[in-house]
Amino acid sequence: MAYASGQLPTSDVDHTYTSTGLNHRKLLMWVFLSSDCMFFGALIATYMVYRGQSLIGPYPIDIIDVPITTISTFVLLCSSFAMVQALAATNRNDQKGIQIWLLATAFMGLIFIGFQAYEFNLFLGEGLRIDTNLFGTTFFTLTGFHGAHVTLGIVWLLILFVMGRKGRLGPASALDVELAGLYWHFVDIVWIVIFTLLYLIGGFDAGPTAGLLIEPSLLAFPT
Amino acid sequence: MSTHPPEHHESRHPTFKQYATIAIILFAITAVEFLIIVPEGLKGSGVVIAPLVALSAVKFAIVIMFYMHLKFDNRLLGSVFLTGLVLAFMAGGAVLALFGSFQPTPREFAAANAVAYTHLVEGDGHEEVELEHPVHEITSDGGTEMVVEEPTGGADLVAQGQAIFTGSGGCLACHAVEGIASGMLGPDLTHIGTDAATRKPETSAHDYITESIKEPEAFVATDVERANPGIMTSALTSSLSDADVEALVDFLLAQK
Repeated sequence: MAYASGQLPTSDVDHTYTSTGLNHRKLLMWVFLSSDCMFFGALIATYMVYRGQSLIGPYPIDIIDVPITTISTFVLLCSSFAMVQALAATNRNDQKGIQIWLLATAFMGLIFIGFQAYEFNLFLGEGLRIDTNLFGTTFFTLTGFHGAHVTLGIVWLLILFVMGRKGRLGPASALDVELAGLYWHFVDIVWIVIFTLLYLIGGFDAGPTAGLLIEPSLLAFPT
Repeated sequence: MSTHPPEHHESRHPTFKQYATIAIILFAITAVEFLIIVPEGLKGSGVVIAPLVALSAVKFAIVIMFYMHLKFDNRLLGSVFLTGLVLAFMAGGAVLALFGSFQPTPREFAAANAVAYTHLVEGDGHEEVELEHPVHEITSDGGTEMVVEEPTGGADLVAQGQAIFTGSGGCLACHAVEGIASGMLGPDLTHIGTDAATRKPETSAHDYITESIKEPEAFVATDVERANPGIMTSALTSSLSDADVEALVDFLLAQK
């Protein structure tokens, strides 16, 4: 099958007959997002199971900084807005708009990751590592996987941006941008859930007050 | 080639203005969430969960309906996504139920047994620790009773050492000090202030305790009950600053 120069196969695939009447790539993306829901659901459920069960500090209230994270949440919400603008620009073949909005989305994603790196670093300085307590384990696993998703999304957006620079994005390839957008918005909604549960609700979980004793039998060594 | 109409519904996608309105709504909801938790957080009384969960669910729904176009797209796509979402909720709920998270027992256990945390970054171990919290003490019948610590006026370092002993240092997990801690793995330290002077030849009580904290492997005293070499190692105490160790030594020297 031959394509006109500069044209992506997408346009062709778009009009291929499918039994559902839906584009396969788009359906596949939604199936993937659906499965990713379960992936994050498992991590979130694990966090909630072990919430408030750490026996040594630091506890969430000692280190979680809600105002800082509210700022990074705003940034991620902003990036979702930029993403829909990138898709709209693609649909109306606004080449400059495509590049600006894609770059803006990726840039805001980078800011979000920067906040996360800062936060992780701060937590490590406070003595919270992934193996410190149940809070550290579940927190770093969940937010780490989310950060990895965001990072992947940034790479994806930058690749699209480079394609846009070469003039390879337009109404014919709108699906390419739309799929990246679906992924990006999904990462955003996962953060909405994480922000609510780990920061707004779980961020004030306190450890016990000072001076409590550890139950000695807890630390029984096998002899 | 195509027997179906094109799938793009650009005409039905929201306009720039509508997208901007949606973004502002999302911002507003986040701001409201933040304002809800601020007073609660300051009081330290825990937060009201229901409105936060509800507001987040609204945000979630707005993003998938408008930004992800589920409102305008084929319903099959929405069904596929909702299937995963519902399964995730059900699996998560099952896990929570399985581990008894809807009952308070595990958290009560943690609250009764966990060790309090003192910040490593700010204060750098030199801050004055006030023992204003009630201390649980094991009574003769094996239960615990609350004892309110009197602030020790002149002996700041001793009090600080005790806070580390029972708090961030975690010493109490293994060591006993009558009236303060009842760990059963390592030597009883109730009279360490007197005993330390004669434990190691040609070493003062102060130096002996310091060494025993920083380098527990260096010298193991003989004829001491529960002196189990290998359990306490320098790795366990490496997180203590010199100031922490100094405070601990002062506290232990006071245990005559």
